[in-house]
Amino acid sequence: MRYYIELDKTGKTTQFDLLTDATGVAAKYWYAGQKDYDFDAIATANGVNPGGAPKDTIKFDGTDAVISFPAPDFSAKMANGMQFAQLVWKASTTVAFAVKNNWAFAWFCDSRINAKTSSAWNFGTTSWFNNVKKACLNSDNVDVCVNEAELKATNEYRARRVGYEKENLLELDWTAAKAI
Amino acid sequence: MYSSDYPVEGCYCCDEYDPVDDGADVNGKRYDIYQACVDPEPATDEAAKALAADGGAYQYCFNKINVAMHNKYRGEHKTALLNTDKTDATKTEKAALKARVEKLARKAAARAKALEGLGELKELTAAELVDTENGNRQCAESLRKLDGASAPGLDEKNYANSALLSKIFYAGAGSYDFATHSVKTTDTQAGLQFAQLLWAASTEVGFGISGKFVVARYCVAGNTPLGNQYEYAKNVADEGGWEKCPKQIPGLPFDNCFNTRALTAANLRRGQALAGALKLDTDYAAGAQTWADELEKRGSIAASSKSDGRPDGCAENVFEQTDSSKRADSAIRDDATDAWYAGNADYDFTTYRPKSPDNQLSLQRSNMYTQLVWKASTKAGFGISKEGRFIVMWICDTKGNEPDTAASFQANVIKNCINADGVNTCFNDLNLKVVNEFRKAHAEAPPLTVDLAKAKELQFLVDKYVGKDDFVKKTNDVPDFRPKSFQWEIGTGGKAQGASAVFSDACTYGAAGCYTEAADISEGFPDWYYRLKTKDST
Repeated sequence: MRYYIELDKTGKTTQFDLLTDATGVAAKYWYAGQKDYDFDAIATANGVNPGGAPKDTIKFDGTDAVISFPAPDFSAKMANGMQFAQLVWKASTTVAFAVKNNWAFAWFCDSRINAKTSSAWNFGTTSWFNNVKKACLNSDNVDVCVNEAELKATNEYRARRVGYEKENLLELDWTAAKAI
Repeated sequence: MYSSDYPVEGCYCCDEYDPVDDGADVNGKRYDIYQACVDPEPATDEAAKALAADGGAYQYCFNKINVAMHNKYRGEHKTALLNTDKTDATKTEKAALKARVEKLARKAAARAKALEGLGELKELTAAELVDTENGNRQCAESLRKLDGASAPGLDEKNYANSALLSKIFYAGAGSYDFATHSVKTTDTQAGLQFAQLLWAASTEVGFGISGKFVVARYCVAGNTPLGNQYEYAKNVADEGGWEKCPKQIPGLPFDNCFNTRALTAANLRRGQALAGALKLDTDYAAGAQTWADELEKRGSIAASSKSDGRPDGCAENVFEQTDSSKRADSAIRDDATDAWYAGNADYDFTTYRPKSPDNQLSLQRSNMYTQLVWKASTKAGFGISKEGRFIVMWICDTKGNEPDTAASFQANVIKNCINADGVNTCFNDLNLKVVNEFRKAHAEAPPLTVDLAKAKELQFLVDKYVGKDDFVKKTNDVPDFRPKSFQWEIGTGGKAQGASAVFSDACTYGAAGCYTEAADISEGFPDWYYRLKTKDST
């Protein structure tokens, strides 16, 4: 059983071989659901919500892109994406694990429950956007998201200058980013 | 001795109840019926109010009969009796015990009444069985619905006047495996109820009955940690005592019975450290016995050497029972193994070295612990001196603590991952570490901490349901594998709800304040993650 997990935007892929790397095997399984999470998904009902949702969650109803939970018949992609989202959910504060036979369980706990929200996942992509962030830190602890956003903005300014030439655009130096 | 021999007069029948003469047998379909008696009225208005508040009457006769029958069984297993005062108990202590067990019985009666109203057996959560009036001790219940199948030929009106309940629980012996101290999967409920009946740490019980529904409430709870073989071996004694001993063979140069017992104790401790079971080697046992006898002659503890006959491939653990009043029973209580295992406090699981190598006593304790649980060791033999003062273990093929390197200790000494609450702390620690690494990568998610109280609650539910017949994975690839009762407990704290709400509000949306995630990771699951009790059940 192997999972290939994309950890950062540089395209670097980390392989977990569960037969030899048993550390935190359950957590890795749940995190592998990232492949079924769409960071760019948009729901347009009740105004446009910012992006992010498990795959298969947003359906077009003829007018709007709406969040749809066909419980209890979740698709595999939806379930995988939700597992990943839960693991990295920003608002979560505590966790508990249990194990028996080949079954691993976790409780991820946070303030949503205490607030008695009627349905944890039924509050639009705004909550997903706010709580499920892309992985920005690469293996060198460099914030890839910030670097790319700043690079984009910088190059847009450079492109407006008189005498602009394509070769004047900057490229990211990951070694320098790590050093700084 | 049958009820018809007695006049119907107050609770005379109960007071005279003598389970020793009771030949009734559930499997043989014989049931001794005792005369119904009138439960005593509350002596004061205050007592009447308290009784009403508890919602259940104290069913004197039902309790009298079943406590007696429980204690008959416990006596046969040489286990301390329930609801019994200590020999040196003061009047105050005796009164307190009486009040506690009557309260237990009233709670059991109220529960039985509630179950009858509900029409089905519904268990309480562990949290609901905490006795807040007595130091928050954890209690447990055994539930049954009596019917024609459980008591063929017995009229329902006589349920409350018989020891049927106790006999049914004891008939669960067939679902308990004394060789492995585990409950057989063929009838888990029966095995657990049998274990609870005999559980040595449980000292108090109360019974309640309402129609066909019966409840036994025990304090403290047995079967905890659920499935921990060592605790079961400590608390569930086989008939005739804590272990059946093979008969001593004349001329055998070692104590056959003691070796059987000591080996079981050592292997249970090794199991806690995920080390394989040792096998008894009769030559090593003879050698260990010779050294134990020698220590008896010398009158002081010492280690043997090669010149004393100990083979190169064997290490040695020695124990001296310094309390002379305990020597006669030190072997029965596994004192030596307990003392050696307690040396884990002197071992550092992070550096894989003794914590205080410069402290000779601490170093010895650490070495005896690591020797006891050393994974690579395969054989052992035990000796015990005549008076029980000295106990010697030779552990061999190969001996432990060598080579004396961190790598060697890391490979051979595995931390006991199950804490007193049954939580696998290693599993929690390792997954927490990985979860937080992932959350760190997703820059704004702060690190989580483990909530051990919730981990205890979750593990309790997982132990209760995983492996049951209805705990199956659906054929499609959606990981919906939980039985409905599991969903209810996770989702609503034990309150049943409509089926349509189960998935959205219970399975996904946990009322315990948490969301549940689960994974079947069979292929990638290393065997050291397995809880000990389930090694053979997968």
